[in-house]
Amino acid sequence: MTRVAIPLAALAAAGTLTGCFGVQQAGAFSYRFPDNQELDLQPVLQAGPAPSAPEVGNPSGEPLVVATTHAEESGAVVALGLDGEERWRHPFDAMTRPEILGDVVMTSDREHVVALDARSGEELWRKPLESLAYVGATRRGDTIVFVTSVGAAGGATRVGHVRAVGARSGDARWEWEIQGVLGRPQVWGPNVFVPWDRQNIAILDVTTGLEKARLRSTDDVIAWVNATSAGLFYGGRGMYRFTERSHTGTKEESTYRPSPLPEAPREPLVEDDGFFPVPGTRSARGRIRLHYAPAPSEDPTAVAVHHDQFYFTYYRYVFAFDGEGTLRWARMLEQDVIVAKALESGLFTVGEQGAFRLLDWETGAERWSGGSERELASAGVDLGAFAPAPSGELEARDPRIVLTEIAGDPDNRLVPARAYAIELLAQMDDPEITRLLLDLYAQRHMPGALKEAIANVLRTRATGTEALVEALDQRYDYLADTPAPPLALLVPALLEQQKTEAVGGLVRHMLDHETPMAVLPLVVRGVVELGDESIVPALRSFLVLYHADSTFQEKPEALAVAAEGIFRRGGDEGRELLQALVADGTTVGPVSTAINGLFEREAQEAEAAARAEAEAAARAAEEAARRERAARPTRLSQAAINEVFVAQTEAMRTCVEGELERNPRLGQVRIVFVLLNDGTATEVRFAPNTPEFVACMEPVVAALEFPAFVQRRQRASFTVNLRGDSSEQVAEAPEDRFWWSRAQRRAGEGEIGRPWWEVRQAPRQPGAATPQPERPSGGEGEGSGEGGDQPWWMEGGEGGGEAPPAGEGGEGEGETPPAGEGGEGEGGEGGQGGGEPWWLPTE
Amino acid sequence: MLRHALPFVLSWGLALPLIAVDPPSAEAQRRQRRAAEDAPSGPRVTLADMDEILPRLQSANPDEVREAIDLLVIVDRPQVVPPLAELLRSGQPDRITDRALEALRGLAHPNAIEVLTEFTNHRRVGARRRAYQALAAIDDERVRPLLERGLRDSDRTVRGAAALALGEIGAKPSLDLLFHAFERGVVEAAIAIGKLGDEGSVERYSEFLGREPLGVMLSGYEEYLGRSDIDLETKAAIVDRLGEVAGVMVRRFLQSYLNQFPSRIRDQEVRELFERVEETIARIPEEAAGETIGGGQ
Repeated sequence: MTRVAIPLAALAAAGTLTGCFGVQQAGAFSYRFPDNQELDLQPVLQAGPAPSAPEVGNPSGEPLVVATTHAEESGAVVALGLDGEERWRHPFDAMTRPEILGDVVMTSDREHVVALDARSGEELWRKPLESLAYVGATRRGDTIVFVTSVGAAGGATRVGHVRAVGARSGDARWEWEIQGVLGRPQVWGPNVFVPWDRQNIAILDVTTGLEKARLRSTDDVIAWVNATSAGLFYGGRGMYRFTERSHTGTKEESTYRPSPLPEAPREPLVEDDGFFPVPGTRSARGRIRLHYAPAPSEDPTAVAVHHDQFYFTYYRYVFAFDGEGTLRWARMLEQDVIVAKALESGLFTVGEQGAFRLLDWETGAERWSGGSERELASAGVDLGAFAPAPSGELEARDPRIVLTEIAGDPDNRLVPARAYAIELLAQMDDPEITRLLLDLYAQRHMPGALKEAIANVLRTRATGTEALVEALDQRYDYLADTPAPPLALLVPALLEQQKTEAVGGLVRHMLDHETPMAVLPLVVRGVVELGDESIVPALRSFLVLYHADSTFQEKPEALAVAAEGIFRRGGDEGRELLQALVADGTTVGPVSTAINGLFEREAQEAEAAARAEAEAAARAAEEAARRERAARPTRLSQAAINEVFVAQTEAMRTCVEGELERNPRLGQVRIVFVLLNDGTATEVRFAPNTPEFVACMEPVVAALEFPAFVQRRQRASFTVNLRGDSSEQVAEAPEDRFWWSRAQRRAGEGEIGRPWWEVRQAPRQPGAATPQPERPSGGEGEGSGEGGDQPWWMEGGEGGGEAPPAGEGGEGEGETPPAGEGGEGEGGEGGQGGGEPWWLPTE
Repeated sequence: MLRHALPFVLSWGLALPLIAVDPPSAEAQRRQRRAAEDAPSGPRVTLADMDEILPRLQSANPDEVREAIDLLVIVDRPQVVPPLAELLRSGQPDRITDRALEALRGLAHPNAIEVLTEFTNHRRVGARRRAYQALAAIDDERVRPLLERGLRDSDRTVRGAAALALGEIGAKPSLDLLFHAFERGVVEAAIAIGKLGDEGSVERYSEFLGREPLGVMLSGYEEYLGRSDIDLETKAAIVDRLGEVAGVMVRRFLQSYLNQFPSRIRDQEVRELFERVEETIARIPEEAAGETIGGGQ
């Protein structure tokens, strides 16, 4: 942004100014000027006047209203006493609202800023506007500072001009012109505060025009400055009080108070926007405003307001709120308020037809009235601390009644404020309010926007909702001129609040031909959503009666909703009915389509649900598999292998017993195999490998289910020592449970031949031809083993790298089946030479 | 039985309703029944044929359904009402519904009141109107309050039908309500008032002159003048009142009234009334101004 401060000398030299001024060398509106400097602001603050009671400033010493007139042959500025008597009149087409500055009244026409004598109305002086707009003036002593500016609303031209002149003479004192917009100035103490570019306040010395300090908001817009007897205030939508905290430039750290009514219609400000002229003609601007009476405060963090009360004027309506935004009272006046001034005693209003009123701050009642009948367009007031004593006891009107009157006021200019009144009404807990709102809704000429507002608030009201249900009792009656109840309003509210007790009334309206067709689907929806199974007969009657009727040919929605209700709550019987209606050729097409849609939608939903379920199951399975894979051991331990075999003990017992019968001296059974990582056992070898034993064992082993593991494959074995050394039992199990226990018991019972544990393996006799199990890989056939070859199952301990029997070496993980050859000359059972077999207990 | 009956019906020209688009009026149906009863020979549709007729009410062919309805009308027994009621409640296309309501109107059995009452709440105006008309045909004390309810209907034609029906059934206790309806713009109430009102009501009725269209007012006066239970003095007062209104429409109306007098009037009082009408007519110019009083055309 470029700001150009034009010293008067330069301006004079350029011929842009008339008159002779003292030369200001520097120091105002410079973009280099430091802002928010505590050291700069402190003297300004200290130089400010101490808080005091407001005083009348005009020379009469009496409250004065200076107004512009309307609808007369030619415009005029008139000074009026509070009795309405005209003190003086000055014919003048004022374009801006008059301001009373002591003994001078400032206003403007299209071309000039004009100063009038406040005593007589005579013109004191005028200054050309030079295509700018007059936005306001302020005064200290005999100096008036006024601002003209253009560009606040946008556009290429942005010029601000601030001038100090003699109050009664108009003699120039100093002036500044900048390329930027300036707002209405305010004198506070020896300084004048000039809002600038909506973000800054330049604080100039009234006498010299030099800038002494600057305020800048870093997080807000500054639209106005207001110097009062209680202090200096500034702000935009919110209010700041000028204190030692102001140098921070932020809302949070300054003395700030947010807008008390952020939700009020048209976003009213607490002061007129200082960057725009206040019109002197009739205009909407200025008629929607917040007002407050500033109060002095010792607390540097407080923006104090008398009675902590704010007033909101909207043309003819006045609302009073406390600082928390809670309504205290409301008034509807006969005349539009063209200007209002909040005082400690209440709100002073000037009406468009000349009525003056003071509304008591506490009750809103008329504490005083004056003025006279005349058409006014705008007015400036100088009231001081006007506080007449009320003539009698002031009675507050019930805000509910006033708000209801405002909401029902036929003035359609004021619909936003009427809607606001409805919102305020709805915020009250009184149950009766619901009924009031329904009555308002029923008013024939209620605008649609207000009906919508009522509908919105009724949906959220928590009290008085029984009135909604009761309202359903109303029925159309031509003779009684009774309309149908406002079902479009009632049903959504009933639905929102789940008023199931309304079902009876809704059913009645569903079956009543006087229910408008437009709202019938909503009514049926209400029945369906609020009712239970008991509503099905009514829905059936309704649907059946009209399913072939032309009434619903074009608008089948209500029947479609009824069908949906039957579909949802009517059970199988209901669905049969719906299918029968679809099959019935007389059912109007759109209704059939709607019913078919219900079934199709259900099928689609079921399909989607099944799909989702399957997907979820697949995801779960995948996750389980992933977890299972993650939990797999690298390879199976012998214990895990044994556990699998233990599960097949019974089957194995049969095979072993059979083999024992064939070979009573059998000392050990061993199974060696390769396990794939999916748990499949391959390359299985048995010892002994007699065909009978192998044939018996093969299906047993094939039925074994080993856990999966990570490693691709592993060699494994399972060994059962049939001799007494229990320490050789790999598969441990409760003694009475497993086959060896039973075998022992049965042996004791004489069921089988000689018990194996009694058979002591005799040293193998050289050359003795003891039948030996065939080497799994050898395949030579039964009994072909020779004494010099130690049986393969005797050469090692446990397979799979698990702990081998004592004294034996492990086989490791090799995949090679056990070899029969290469032994130490020991035969099988009863074999000789070489020493004790490995399964014998070690010494 | 039905197979035999149908050719008979057709031969007597009663098959027309079977193919006719518009449902027959109650009177036409009564004529049908009388014709059927008066038929010289041949089989007739009776209760015994119900078993054959009723299944046809369920037919998917609308012509067959209509035919069955007409046959039930010919049967003309209270027992035919429940099947018709059931048919109506089961929801039918407009033409079947209307036909069934007309049938109930022709039957005029009190046991149809319940279903007809239900249909006074039907969403279709035509169905409601027919329901009221059918109710009006039933001689039962429950009917009058139901017809009075029709005056409160949102549809103008239904209100009119109810008003006329009240006049038709002679619902004198409804006179006040009819006046109220008339005040609220139910123009058909004028005829009903003319049929029901006593001598004292004429003055009350005449207060509407100038407020209601003249044609509407004349419809009520016509009823008053046509009644034998209204004394001649009252009728003379009506003529005088109309003479004050004058106008072409009144002149024509009185002329028409005059034509209703017998050619030879023996009764002195009647003759005096006749002469009064003549005088009144004579006072009204043939193309008089002021004929539009009360919005008359």
